[in-house]
Amino acid sequence: MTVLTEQRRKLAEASLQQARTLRRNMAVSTVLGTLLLSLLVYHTHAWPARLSQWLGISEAAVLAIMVAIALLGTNFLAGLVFFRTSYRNAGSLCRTLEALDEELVKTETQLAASRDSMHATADMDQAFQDALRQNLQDSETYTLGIIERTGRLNEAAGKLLDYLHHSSTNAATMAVDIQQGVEDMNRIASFVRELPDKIRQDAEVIHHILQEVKQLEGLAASIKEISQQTNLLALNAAIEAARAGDSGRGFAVVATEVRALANRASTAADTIESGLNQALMAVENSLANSNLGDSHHHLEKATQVVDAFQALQHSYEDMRQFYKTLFSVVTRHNTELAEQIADMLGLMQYQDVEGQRLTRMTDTLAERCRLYAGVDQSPTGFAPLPEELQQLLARYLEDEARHSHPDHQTTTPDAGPRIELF
Amino acid sequence: MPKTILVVDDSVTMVMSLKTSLQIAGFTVETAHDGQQALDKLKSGVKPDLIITDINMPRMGGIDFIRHARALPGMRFIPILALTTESQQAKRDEAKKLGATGWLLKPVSGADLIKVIKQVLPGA
Repeated sequence: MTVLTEQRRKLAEASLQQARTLRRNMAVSTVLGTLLLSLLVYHTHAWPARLSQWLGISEAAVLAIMVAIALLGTNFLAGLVFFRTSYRNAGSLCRTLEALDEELVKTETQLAASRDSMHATADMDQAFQDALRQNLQDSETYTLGIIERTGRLNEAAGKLLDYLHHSSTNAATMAVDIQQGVEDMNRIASFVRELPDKIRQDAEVIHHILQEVKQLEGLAASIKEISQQTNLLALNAAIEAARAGDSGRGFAVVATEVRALANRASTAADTIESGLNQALMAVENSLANSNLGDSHHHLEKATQVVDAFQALQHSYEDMRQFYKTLFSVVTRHNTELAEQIADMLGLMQYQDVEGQRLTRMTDTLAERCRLYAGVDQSPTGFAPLPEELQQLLARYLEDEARHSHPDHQTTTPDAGPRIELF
Repeated sequence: MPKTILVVDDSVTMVMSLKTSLQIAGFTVETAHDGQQALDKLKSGVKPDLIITDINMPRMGGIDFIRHARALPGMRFIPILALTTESQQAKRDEAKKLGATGWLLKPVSGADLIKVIKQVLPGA
């Protein structure tokens, strides 16, 4: 109960008390006066008659005057008491009214201050709403920026992995090619290493053949000599056949054919000898021109190149192994990175959760502003405001309790687990 | 062939974070910003292997969306997960009754989400 109401109640009670006192006093005074007069008349009944004689009026008139005097006296006394009581009450009423006025002034001042405070609170609410909305918008923008960058980060990691995978594939293909090349080079190296011995063996064979060919040259000379002797013998035979006459004619024919044969054999022997000489000269010139010493030098260099190539292959194998390890490590880290990015993106959901909470707050603030604004227009003024604010608070708390909070395992005791599959 | 997931949420950050994390996990992602838009997508021929939906959304909320989606041909056995801040048991029970596959309270970590998806989407 307010002070103003208390003062009003006191004032009303004082007025009622005054009225009751007046009524009681008047009734009591009248009864007492009448009673006293009746007793006086009863016990001293002779004096009204004496008084009527003394005054020269009838006894009834004396009695009537006595009753009137008694009533007037008692009422005067009652009026006097009433006046005194009223005087006291009026003083009390004045003090009460003055206090009431003071309270009214105070209340009006407080009311004006409350109204101003309410308007200031409404302005603050509006400012808070704007700030919260801005905050919500900013957090959404920043969160989207982070999500976009996270996506790019993942793309970059993915590209790196793809590049490494591609490089690894290329390296494997290259390794096959290099292996093939090394094997070819090894075959060439073996061939080159064996080449000097082969050339030497071939030269020896050629020398041997040359020796044999030179022996053939002697054989051609022998054939030539034999053909000359045969020609000589055929000539002798022809001479002897001519001496024998007709009996030696047939023999002369044979001698002639033998001579012709000997001449052809001699010619063939010359041709063979000439051919052999040319062939021998050509082979000897060829052997003379081939410089086996230089060949050994070049072959040694070629072998060194092959050795260097094999060393290169070993280096490549080491590099490839390193590359394989690198690829494996990068792949593992990339997988972990993807998992962490997924978790980070999961954390972005906090923005939505907090955003919803801020939205509920701004909605409640907006509703409170509306209630404050309604006070000025409503004929009931402030009267319904406390209840409306209580209801608003209850609705807000109830709505808040219906939503999960990230920091809590569950919001309400009857809420289910955070993850449930039906 | 990557599996397709339809994400339904009125929060842009939720849609983007889910889309990015699911794409990283190798899924194809379709998005909608409320139940009505998601329903229109399903009617226009989008055939997701899984649906993840919020519950409190403008125009059409998650509960109504689940009800309408289940009535569409070919959508009876598609897994539908509710991902929401709504912790009211009554809503959870209603979603379950309408055919939701699971209920997840925001926020859910990326690892937990993928784990749940693999549980309800064999072969994912």
